[in-house]
Amino acid sequence: MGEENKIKPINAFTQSLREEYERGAVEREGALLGQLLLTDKVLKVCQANSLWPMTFGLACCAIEMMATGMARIDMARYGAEVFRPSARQCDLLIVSGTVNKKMAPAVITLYEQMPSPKWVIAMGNCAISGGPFAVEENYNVIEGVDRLIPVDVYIPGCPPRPEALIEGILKLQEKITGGRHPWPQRKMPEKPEMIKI
Amino acid sequence: MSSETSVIGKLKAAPFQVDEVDYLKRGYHVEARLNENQVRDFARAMLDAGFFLDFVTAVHVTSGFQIVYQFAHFDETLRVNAKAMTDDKGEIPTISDIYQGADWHERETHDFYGVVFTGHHDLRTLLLSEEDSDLKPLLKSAEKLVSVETITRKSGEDAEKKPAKKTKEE
Repeated sequence: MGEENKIKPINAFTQSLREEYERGAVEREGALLGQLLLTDKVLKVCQANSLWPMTFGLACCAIEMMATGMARIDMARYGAEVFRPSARQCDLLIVSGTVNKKMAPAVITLYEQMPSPKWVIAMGNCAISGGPFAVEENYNVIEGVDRLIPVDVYIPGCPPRPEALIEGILKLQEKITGGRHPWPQRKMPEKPEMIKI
Repeated sequence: MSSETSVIGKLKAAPFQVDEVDYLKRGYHVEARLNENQVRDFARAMLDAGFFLDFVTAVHVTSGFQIVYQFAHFDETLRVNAKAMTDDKGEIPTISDIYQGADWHERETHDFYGVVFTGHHDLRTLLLSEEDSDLKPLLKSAEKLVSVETITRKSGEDAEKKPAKKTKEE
């Protein structure tokens, strides 16, 4: 590998991978590392296109989240369909629903159990601000999950449609990589009638 | 139908104040008015008669809490609504050792109203978080409190309407 190909890694994870490669510790999995030029940018594009959300539904928004994962909407198109039942395997927490006072410690624990880098989407009005529960008589609903954990993307709606959740994931990809659609997208054919069967 | 009438007949023979009421108006067939000392005996009688417990809840009134128990029969279309007032200290005997299903209903009622079910084995908070154990969110404010007489139907109310219905059927 020539000197000009040496990339200066910024991220600590990239740094450690590269050091391991240069030590010869990475053999099989990382065999291509030297040629691939694993930069922060490449890593971020990979992260943005393989978000692993937690299987964590709190209220009716979770139904929309399930619909988003199913065939008709199919969030797998953007690489975010691998719902993991363990916080240790997730990097995206979609807070889909109402967080009440008794649930709050569990939400915080789950967030803390997730390995970094990690992101949080507040889905629906309840998770954003308490929604219909933000009234004087409210005694047990946390009015906004951002009072408990940091939130990256807010998706308004009661509940938001699956398209809105997809848009939230696209916004998160934008936040991670700095640009919309970090992976090249296929275009819809402009003249569908010209497709011959 | 004969067995249904016999279940009702047995209820009426027992030493409790039970009245048949109009199901279409009330949503239950039999109403029982108990004092707090009769609650456990009544629950045992209901268990023996083949009823299950539907829910337990409370109504906040000026003189304390009216505890409402609703039972339904396993085999017949027969619902029984039992009401009992708590004593001066807001306490009433538990029925959770008779009906195991009453356990969480009583804990929930304790959460929301602070009613103490004496003899209950574990009155920790159920739905509220532990730090809110003194919150009692469903208590009414002073201006909204009414007396138990205001929310109780008069004994003749159904009796007056029942004959009118019968004439319609005829």
